[in-house]
Amino acid sequence: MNYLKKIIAVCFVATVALLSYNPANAQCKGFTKRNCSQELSPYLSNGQFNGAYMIPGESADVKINFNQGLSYRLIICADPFLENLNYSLKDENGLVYFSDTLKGTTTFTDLEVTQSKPLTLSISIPEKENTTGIVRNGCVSVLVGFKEQ
Amino acid sequence: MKLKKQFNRISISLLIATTLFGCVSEVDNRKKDDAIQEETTKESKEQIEARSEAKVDQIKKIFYSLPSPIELTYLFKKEGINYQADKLHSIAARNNYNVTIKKALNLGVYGADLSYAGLFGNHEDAIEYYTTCQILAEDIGIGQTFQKEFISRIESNADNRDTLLQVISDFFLDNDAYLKDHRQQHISTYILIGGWIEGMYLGTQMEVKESDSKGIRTIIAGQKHSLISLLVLLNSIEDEESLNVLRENMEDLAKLFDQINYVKADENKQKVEKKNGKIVLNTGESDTKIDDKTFEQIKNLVKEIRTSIIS
Repeated sequence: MNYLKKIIAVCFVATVALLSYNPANAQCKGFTKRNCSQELSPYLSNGQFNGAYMIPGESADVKINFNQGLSYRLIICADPFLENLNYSLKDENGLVYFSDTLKGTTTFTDLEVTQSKPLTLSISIPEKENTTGIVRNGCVSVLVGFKEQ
Repeated sequence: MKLKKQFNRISISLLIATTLFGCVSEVDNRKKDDAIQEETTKESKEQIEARSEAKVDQIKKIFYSLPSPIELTYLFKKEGINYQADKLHSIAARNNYNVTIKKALNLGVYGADLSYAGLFGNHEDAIEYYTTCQILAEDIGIGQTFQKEFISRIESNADNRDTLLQVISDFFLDNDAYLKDHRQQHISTYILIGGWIEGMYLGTQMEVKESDSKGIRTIIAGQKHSLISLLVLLNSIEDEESLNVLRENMEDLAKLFDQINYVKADENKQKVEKKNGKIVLNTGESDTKIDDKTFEQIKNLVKEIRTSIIS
């Protein structure tokens, strides 16, 4: 009976070890480190990691609190597969300050605000014609850096 | 006896299988690292269907990016606060926390103290606070991110404040990435709350010249939206009764911020201007009014919340 309990315990440990391994998330973190982090310099990261796997047709919002008195760098990175990713920065009333389309893997914008304010970075990935029947996803991440003005 | 041998064989086989799986996956990952297609994964038919259903529901991914304690300390320092080590949380108190929520909240508090010591170039205190953060992080299972590399970087850059800040900043980012990768957003939220409250505490409790207090008040007023974001994150954590007092206190704090008179942006002004290669967004006037009574109330409630976190 004791052996049976031990076998169950070993199986449980092995199952937990297998399930806790999450390659997809680890890759998104790795992608961010390789493609975005170097763009931060000479700014300091605000310490927040915002990254997720997305597929064509999906969208995401990142609500960022900007402080008056500091300069910011807003970095957007995406897997090249997610072509023509659109992004815009707007306030809570929908007033759009700027918008653009990501060309390549990474882009950044340096900015300042005249009053501390939360702004929303909206990201949308256009639908893509799928002839293979296989949906592919890719990592999208946003980093915020800051420095003294 | 036979049964025992069989058990041992099964155990060893399972462990070998688990280890091999880990190794193969690791090697596989390294291979993937070499190609740009590595980040793109293929999904099963079932996953595609699930994602398509989710798309029908139009569920948008929403993330919150809040200021780090370094950011807040930068602003307060600019307005004239000085280094007062006696205002920081006692390092010895780290042994008082037995539950994960308390440990994570206080990891945030110590993280803010670490930022404060680092920004003022107090190298010895920074190392002590860093070590404290490392111990608490290991206690709550995120110690993997706190690599020895960080300590050696701090030690080898004793006189370089910028490098010290870079190390601290990397430390926060790695920590947050680890938690989000491991679906522990709630722990990340506790750390953020602890860090924000400590940052606000240090900013409001430090003695400054009368002439600097207006700037301090403007910074405090500007934190309203960070507080709202923190409340959204806090309220997304379900079934945690021990957070009720913290929730109520944070909501009371938000009500105090509602009393502040925020000056709206002049609509006639250009909304975006270019200055020295940067974009300046006209988000409103900077001279936000915060009266003495409201400031004192905010200051006292922040202190009360901080006391409830560290006690």
